[in-house]
Amino acid sequence: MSLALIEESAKEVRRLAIAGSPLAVGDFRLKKFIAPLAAAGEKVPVFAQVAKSIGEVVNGQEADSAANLLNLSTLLNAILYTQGQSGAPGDVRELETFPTTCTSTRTPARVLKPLVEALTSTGGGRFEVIKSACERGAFNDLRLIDPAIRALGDNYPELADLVAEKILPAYGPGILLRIKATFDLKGKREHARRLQLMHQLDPAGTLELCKTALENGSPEVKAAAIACLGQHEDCLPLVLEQAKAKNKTLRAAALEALAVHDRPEVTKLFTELIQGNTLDILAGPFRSLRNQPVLNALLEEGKRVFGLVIAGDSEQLSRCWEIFDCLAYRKDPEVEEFLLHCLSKSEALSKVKIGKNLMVTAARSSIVAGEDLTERLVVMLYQIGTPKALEAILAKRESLPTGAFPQVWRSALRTWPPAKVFDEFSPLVGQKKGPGRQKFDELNRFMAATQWEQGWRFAPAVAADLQAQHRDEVQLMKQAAWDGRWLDAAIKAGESVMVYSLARPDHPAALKYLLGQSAADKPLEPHLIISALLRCRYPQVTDVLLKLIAKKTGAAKYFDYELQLLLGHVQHLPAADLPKLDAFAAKLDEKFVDKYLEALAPLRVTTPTN
Amino acid sequence: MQIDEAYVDSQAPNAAAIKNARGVVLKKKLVGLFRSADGSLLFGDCKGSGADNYRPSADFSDATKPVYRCTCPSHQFPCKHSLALMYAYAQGAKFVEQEVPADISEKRAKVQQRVEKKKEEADKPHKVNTSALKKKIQTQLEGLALLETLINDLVRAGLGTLNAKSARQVEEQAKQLGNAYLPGAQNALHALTGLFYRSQISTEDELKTSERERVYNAALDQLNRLHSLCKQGRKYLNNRLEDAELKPETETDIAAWLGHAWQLRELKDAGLVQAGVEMLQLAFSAHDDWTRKEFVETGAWLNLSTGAVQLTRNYRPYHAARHIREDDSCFHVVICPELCIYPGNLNPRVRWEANEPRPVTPADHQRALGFAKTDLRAVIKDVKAQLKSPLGDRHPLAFVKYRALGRVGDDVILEDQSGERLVLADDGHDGEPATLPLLSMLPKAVHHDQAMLVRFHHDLDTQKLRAKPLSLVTATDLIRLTY
Repeated sequence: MSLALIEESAKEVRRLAIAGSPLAVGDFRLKKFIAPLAAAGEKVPVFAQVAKSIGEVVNGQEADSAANLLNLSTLLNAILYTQGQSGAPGDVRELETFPTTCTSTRTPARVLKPLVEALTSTGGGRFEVIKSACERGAFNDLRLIDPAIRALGDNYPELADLVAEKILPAYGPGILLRIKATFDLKGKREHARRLQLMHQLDPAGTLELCKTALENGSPEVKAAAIACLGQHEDCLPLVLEQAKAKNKTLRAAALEALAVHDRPEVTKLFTELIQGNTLDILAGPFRSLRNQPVLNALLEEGKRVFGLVIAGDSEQLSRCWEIFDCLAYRKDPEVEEFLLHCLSKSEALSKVKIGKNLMVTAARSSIVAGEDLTERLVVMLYQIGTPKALEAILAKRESLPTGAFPQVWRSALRTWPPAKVFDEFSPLVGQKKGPGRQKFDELNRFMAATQWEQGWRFAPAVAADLQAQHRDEVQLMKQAAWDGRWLDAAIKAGESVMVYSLARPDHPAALKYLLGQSAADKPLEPHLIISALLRCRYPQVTDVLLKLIAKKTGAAKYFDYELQLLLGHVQHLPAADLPKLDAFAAKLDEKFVDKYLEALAPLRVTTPTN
Repeated sequence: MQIDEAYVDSQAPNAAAIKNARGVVLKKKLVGLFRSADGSLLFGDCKGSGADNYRPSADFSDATKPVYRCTCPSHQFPCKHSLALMYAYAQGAKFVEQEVPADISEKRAKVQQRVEKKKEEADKPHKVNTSALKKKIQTQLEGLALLETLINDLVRAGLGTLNAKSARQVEEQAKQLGNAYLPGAQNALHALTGLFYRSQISTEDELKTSERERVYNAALDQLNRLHSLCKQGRKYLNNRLEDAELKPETETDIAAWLGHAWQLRELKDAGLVQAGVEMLQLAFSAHDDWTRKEFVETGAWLNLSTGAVQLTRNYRPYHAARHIREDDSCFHVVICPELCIYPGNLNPRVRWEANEPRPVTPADHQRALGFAKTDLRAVIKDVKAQLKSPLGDRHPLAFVKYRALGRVGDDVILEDQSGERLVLADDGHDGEPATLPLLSMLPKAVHHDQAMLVRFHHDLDTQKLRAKPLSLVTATDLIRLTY
């Protein structure tokens, strides 16, 4: 009872402190506590003190009201601080346990803080911090779980995806409840990621949540739920329903999920869709589709549409492109057969122009001409990569558009001996303009890439996103063999990059050309000159490199990419030249020394103390 | 001297120095690695941006006070070259035995001279300029009068009238407190005014009505503290004015509240020193105290001699943050020849001039567990006794042994052997992350019969005393929940 009086008095004091202490003088609400507190004070003296203090406030002068009110407030708070409830009555149950795969907390604060900041703030440079931490296993700390969960909603989608795909799954199902605690069915992409992650961590346990999300979720969350439910055979009817949803994103998600299932209802659905006008959303699903009747139906439709295009129906160009989209990355014999058939008509196909009405009305992305289709066709056949497909490309090389030259060139390299390749393509060397120059640029880039360790930079754009294909390209570059006459032709035409790429030992004309280029005021691609001299085993290559570095750093304000490439060659110099290289460090501008010394490090084969 | 990478990390002034030093090793810029015959000196040659190599060294002739030297122009100590030297040593690089270089021998001799001179001076009685001290105390009393006027004006006008603009105006007026040698009082006032605006200056500086309602209780509590500070401070200063020979008070922390910066010598003179102490860090946290305009790093340590939970605080004002060494988590037992203890209550601040690290062993965990308080009721009583003092720390720490962690309704509780319970809750103190959810992610074994470091907080709105888990100690591990 008395404690309640204290609490009530504290509330009144709070009110008066907010309103202003002069109002406390004569305040009747406060005054009414004096008598009961005084009575209680007969047993517990502190209540009498409070009663006295209230009396001083309400009966005091306005001038002293602030001090009096603070005296009272201090006294009341001191009492209340001793009355804080610390326990919890009732039955105790075990604390639930969701152990994660990591229980370490030995990461120093200095390492942890920048990581947490990168996960929870905004701004550039964070992705690299997180990626490198992920690679060196720095996320093995319990205290990073919550910040990583927060990062699922990061504005930078690559960062959020990295966290969802690489970092959080490693903690195991123990984090599921933490993810669920702030999961919002109506949320956007962040919550779609949460749902997919929860499903990945516990597919059976999250099934009901996925069904609820499908019912009541936002479009993003629904799409994620469809992807999850698509992994459960018994939930396919729910996914099938979504294949007819009004929302295109949901439809696409459903088709993507269904494509991996070989069931009659899936066949029926896809076959119907192939006849419809929404082929564009089938491209994704078709990449994982294994249903033969559906593929056959698409090829039938393809033949029909292609026939119309060849007959001059330009309105079918876009549909034909969409069918090609659906067939992309597939290597089935039927698909190859269909594409070869189409390539056999490439001359007619290339002549089909965009209809005038389409040029005005169609969206820019859907404007496709016959020539574009031909190029697409060549790319797809090249990706299939069978000897038959490559031969077919080469057979049509004269009539194919210039845009298809990268595949023609690569098909030749894969099929013909080096001498035949030279005979066929050497007339391109020295071409100065037009399609001839474009073709020469392509083969020149390719030759340079074969000599450059980081060949990926020049990797053709045929299928940059397809890793397997990319590996094939690197392999092709490594295996490429060049007819000896290419180098003479390049020197004669003054095509310096080609000379750098092909220069070989015991070729005096090439060496003379390289030294001449290195002595120029502003040598073109100086790092390639060094690369070529190293390949030619030129004994004074160190001197040439140091001259080039001196030339490059002489007036340079910053450490630029070209200088970095030059320094990259230092490690390949003769170790015997190390004293010369060390001595050069003293002449370098201070801002370049660190990088220069770093570049020298691999040459120091002995330990510092030895 | 035992040097591992964690030790080198702890010696670095900041995270960038660690990164750069490791880079120096990786880039093989250390071109000569040497050690003295007795192993007390590591030195070497390091390639730098100049024509001549730098000569970094790490001198452990007094292992508790290592001296780092380098010929590089860096203002940071140890610089990246000295750190790199130690990383190379910790990583097992081969150090060739060599004579101690003449220049370092000379410097060692000078250091020895300085130490002896310092010792001589320490033994001399400290003279106090009484007239200057009286003048200072008089100025402080005037400052307190100003503070009292400011808070009385605020209370008269009512907290309802305090907004972002007027709060900043009060801060402007409070600058005079700094001139009156009352930086502690000035910080306390900033803690009040800082409740009424946001940390970042923006167009949305003003608090919303609902936010204002939430800060009134805290604001009134802070006003009470300031009011008490004025009263107790005036009494203390008047006492000192009457007797200028009187030393700063050590029974309470009123001197620190007024802003007295305790010198280690003063603490030693006052007998607030403990010899040969081993300290184990139980928790570490760092936060940006924008009302003080300082970065604050706090370490919670268990004194392995007395079992007291004591605090280290490293204050780095924004304007000098780069030049002050940033504290970090410590994973060693720190051996302090002399531990200076500030006046205070449950968790006094501590400092040491010199220390030597050693690895933590299972025996240390056992020792720590032995110091954990088993009687929760007594702990809570002590905490409340501290909280009721207007100038007492509002967030006392305690290291308690528990029988079980469990759940009652929605509350997570800690229960001692006698069945006494304490509700655990996060407090959002200093923007710290929540730690309560982490308990469920720990192995089930730690939910029973272990010890926990908790930080108490009394919620004035709900009148509940809660505790936030900071770390757990088991027989084999120390699980840290904050950073």
